[in-house]
Amino acid sequence: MFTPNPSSPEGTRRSHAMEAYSAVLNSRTGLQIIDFDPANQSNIDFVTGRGHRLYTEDFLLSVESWFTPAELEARQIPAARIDGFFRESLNFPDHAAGGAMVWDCLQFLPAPLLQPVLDRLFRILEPDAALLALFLPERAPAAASPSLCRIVDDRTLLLRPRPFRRNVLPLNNRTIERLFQRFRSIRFFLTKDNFRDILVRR
Amino acid sequence: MTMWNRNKKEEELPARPAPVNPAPAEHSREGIPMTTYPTTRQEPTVRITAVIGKNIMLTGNLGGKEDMLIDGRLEGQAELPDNRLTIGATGNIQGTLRAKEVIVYGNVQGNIEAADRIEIKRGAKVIGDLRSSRIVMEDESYFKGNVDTLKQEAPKPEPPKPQPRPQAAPAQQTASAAASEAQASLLPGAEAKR
Repeated sequence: MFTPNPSSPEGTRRSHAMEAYSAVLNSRTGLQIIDFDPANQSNIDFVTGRGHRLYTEDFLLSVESWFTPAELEARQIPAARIDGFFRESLNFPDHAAGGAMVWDCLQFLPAPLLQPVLDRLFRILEPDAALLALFLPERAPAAASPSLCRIVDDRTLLLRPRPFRRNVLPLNNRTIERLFQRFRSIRFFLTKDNFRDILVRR
Repeated sequence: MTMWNRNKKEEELPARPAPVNPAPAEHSREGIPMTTYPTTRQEPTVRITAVIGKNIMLTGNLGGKEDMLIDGRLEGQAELPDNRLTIGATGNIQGTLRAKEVIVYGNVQGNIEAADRIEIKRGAKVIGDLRSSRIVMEDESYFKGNVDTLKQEAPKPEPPKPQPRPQAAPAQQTASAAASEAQASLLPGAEAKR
């Protein structure tokens, strides 16, 4: 059973993107924050302890529960199916969310879903909202385990691999910039082991 | 309407007497929080709980003034503002829950509100919004929805009590009274006392 232990150095790493994201959370109260990871005590305490409301959903699980295996393998997914998915997940009015923590989920989505999810996030995030995302190194393997991302403190994350592997979308920096081109700004933070943490402002 | 259903098995089992000299192993269990899931054995310290058995299905609103365990199916609303509501491992709720404490081992599709705390136990599945002063989310539970913490109101400060007038000692009173009279005699128009 995965039990986060903030006092243990194993799996913890400093994240400058998390530090910048925390600064945004600490500067305001009453935001609606979206968390793409499975609900966990650490993230609940961190966000609600700063006076915000947290919507949490295991997004990768939601995708795999809604779409059929054939759809997940296909090059295209019918728009009606995608719209149906967004009525069940990320069902927020426009500009309703003040922040999002998508962690490394974007890189493990099926390719036809990546842009629709980003477009959806753009719609539901309010202007100037902050979005935190993690990407594997550019030379990541074709398949890997997504991470469970627990917030330890303002600048530290605890990452543990999930007990399954998924295909990794190969995304270089230029591609990531293009994906977020509708957003106001994007900052890259390169870690020692070449992971790419980004902070995006809507 | 208050629903009450006693589990007959609890009546049949004899109560276990409290040990006079507990064994050392029992001392080691001190400090470990006891499970809130009621057992079938009649413990001397068990909370009396109304039980909706796993083969019971209810449609409508439940309310009451005692703790309740739901192991069956409820389509509707349960409201226990002063008590604990436990959704057992086989419990299945389609509706809203409102209690002083809510502990979930089973499935809930609906919003949960508790004045004190909400606990989502390992293996539980909850889809809906949570609203409470304290929310405990165990690993390997499934939750999808909003988490909102209630801010506990700070106790209002008591109004300052009126300070009683200090009462001087009798000798002092006599002296002060004399001083007052003397002063008064010096005032123009005052008649001197003889």
